[in-house]
Amino acid sequence: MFGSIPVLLIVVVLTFLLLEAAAGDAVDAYLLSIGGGDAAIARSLRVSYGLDQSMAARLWLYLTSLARLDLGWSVAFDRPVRDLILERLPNTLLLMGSATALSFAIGSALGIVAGAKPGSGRDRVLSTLSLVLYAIPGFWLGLVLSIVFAVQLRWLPTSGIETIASGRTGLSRAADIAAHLALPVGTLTLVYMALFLRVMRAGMAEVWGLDFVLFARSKGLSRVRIVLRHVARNALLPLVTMLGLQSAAMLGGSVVIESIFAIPGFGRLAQEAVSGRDTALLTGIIVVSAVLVVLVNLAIDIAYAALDPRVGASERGA
Amino acid sequence: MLSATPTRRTFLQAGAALLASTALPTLGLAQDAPSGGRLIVAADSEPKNLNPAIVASNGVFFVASKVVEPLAEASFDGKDGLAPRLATAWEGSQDGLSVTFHLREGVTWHDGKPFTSADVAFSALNIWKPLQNLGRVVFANLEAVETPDDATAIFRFSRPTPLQLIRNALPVVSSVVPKHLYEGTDIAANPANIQLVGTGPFRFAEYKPGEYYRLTRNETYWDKVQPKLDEIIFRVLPDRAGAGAALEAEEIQLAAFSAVPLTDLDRISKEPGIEVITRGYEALTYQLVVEINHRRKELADLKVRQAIAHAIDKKFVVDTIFLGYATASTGPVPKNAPQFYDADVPAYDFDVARANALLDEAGYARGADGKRFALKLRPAPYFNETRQFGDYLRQALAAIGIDAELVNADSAAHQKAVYTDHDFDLAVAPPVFRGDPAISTTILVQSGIPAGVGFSNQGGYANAELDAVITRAAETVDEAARTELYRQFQKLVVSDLPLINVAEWGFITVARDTVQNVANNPRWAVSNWADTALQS
Repeated sequence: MFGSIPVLLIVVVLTFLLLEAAAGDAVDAYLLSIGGGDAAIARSLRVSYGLDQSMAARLWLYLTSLARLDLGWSVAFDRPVRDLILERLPNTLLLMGSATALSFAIGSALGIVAGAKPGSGRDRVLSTLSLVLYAIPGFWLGLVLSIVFAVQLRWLPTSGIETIASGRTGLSRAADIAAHLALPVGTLTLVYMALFLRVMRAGMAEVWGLDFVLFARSKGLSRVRIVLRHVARNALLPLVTMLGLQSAAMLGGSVVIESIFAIPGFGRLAQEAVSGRDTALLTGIIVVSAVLVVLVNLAIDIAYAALDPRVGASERGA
Repeated sequence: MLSATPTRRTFLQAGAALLASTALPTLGLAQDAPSGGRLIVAADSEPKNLNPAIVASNGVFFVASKVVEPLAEASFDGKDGLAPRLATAWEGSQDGLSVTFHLREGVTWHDGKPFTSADVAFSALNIWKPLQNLGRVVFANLEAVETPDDATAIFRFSRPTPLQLIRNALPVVSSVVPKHLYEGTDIAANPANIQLVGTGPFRFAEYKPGEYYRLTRNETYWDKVQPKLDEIIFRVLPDRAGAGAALEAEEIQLAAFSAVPLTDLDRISKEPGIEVITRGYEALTYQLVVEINHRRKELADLKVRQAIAHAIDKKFVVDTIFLGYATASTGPVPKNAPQFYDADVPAYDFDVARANALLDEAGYARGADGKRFALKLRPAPYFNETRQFGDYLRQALAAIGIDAELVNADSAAHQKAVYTDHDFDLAVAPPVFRGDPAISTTILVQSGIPAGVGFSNQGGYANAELDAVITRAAETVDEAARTELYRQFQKLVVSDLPLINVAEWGFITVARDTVQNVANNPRWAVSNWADTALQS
């Protein structure tokens, strides 16, 4: 865990420098949004944002406040970065968590179906279908699903995270949120499902050729038992690796899906931070994402040990 | 997932029941529109400061104008194009050194305190003049505001300030905020800048960041015509396709400011129950302008600028880029500012042969590759149309042998490159005409503006004669004489082409046909919506 502190430091400094290298600053972005302002306004804003200080001074100030676990002040929103992140993070975790879980579950289940008999008709249909879905751009799929299910059939709401000012609580509110998330989660699931399906199928295809499978067969085990207990289980490791990578990628949120479905999440916040040249906010988002990625990796490592006793054993044995 | 259907339906039924129950008692009122209901509107931005007294921008007014009122609002048929709001009458002195406002009596703030001339004086001296982006221009010479009684405010200026300018600026610069909440506080950081307190027909109820703003009816509004709607909700929909879909799915009833892209209008207008409305933006005209960097020696030559003007097919721009939802420009003042507009200016017809001849005359012959010289062209990224016009302009310039390199950047980078670093030869900009040329139009061509001021002359253009006209007009109190000076201003600009005005446009509102009294004033989207109603 503490080994990741230097990584975090590098991430913070790089983000800071990257945004610093972009032309225009927070004052340019803000004055543009209000239709322009004169030189005196720009000057006083730069002073109040601290942009009149040198880059090194600002970086040092940011790093020292970060060391005190203070994420700073967002100039684009005029609010503390921590509040913004705490407000948006649950939405993204809900959206991305459900999408990752669903795509993992459905993808690996279909992967087992396809991998149960590599090269069969079933395998070919599933593999092709998943490739087609994977090749469809997410925003397009999102818009099409929205037009069909929200605009034409009106089964689901077009956008938002919940019905506005509805006064719902408890289960009825949860159902409302689920209805709002159905389309964005569905879109992301369809796109990412293919990854898990392909990895599962490929892993199983490889395991089928191993000696112990032959042995299991010759022992007279039932086919279902061989597929599930021996082949699929041994193909799980790369799948879990993929899950770890994918969760990390999903933590940043999906700018496109969050915009299309008007979900106030992390991705949209990051986009707004970049266009507003809000260094503190963007760095804050990236630090929080990086911490979460570290945690996910830890969880994945533990899962490895649980799935494959050899992982922990070899380290202990050494 | 399935539970969505019944919940949505119950919501709609509840809404309908609410409409029906509140519609009955008020049917006999002055205007025959039904009362009650919740109007849901698409919003694409969430200003961090929602106080229109500090930030006079359309994004802020869109929400805030329902809560905080100006002294007067724009009107199609009122005297001087104004409808009284917090002021009932106004007159200027002969010498232009004072303007007297007679204020409405019996008005209370949403927190119950009475509205008086002290609020106007405080807003003017402590906010409009020192802090507001446009007020700093209009009230630059404001020295004092006298309040002989609660219903009179006399503005005293150190230099002659034309009443015509003040009048034209009133809807935009004169939002009054309560003195008792702002006095003695850090105005820029006051919580009332988000949790607005005003005198308007709606109260600010709730803001959920990233989701919506909710306004509720002000039961004690001063006007005898009471606000119709129970609630207005501004729902944040950042994706432009989202607003159209939400309208079609009847989740929202109105999308203003062209939230539905032009390319979708033809299709959506054929949907039953949806109307495309082009009125209601007459006082918010955007102009498509080619900004020119006169530091480039080629562009400092008038013949080259004339050639560029001749190379642009304005009709094509209007028909193809704006799909007809725009008008070709003749000069720096748009046609729908009839007070000032002068059609009698030089015209630059689309004529490629003439453009080529002008460039030859200027001494920029085509090279072996057919090119005369190369330019850097920066289209502003703020609208689809400004980007598309950049693509078009590149081709139009190629036809006359000018090789333009397109440089696309995001908003902050574009702003810095053009208005601070002057790193452009040509730029495409969308400035706004705000009712009077002195507010934000003359600054586009006036010399001596420091670097870093957005939407101003950063092309290094200097014309002493033009500067003199601008300065004189700024202090000419007599209305006819001042208007005449702005006619001269237009002639000078169009003759010398410090910039090239190509087209002018207003925005489009798309609404369900149940929304009534839409677009009934020239700043409708940013006006108070007191008479807007929903039919059940």
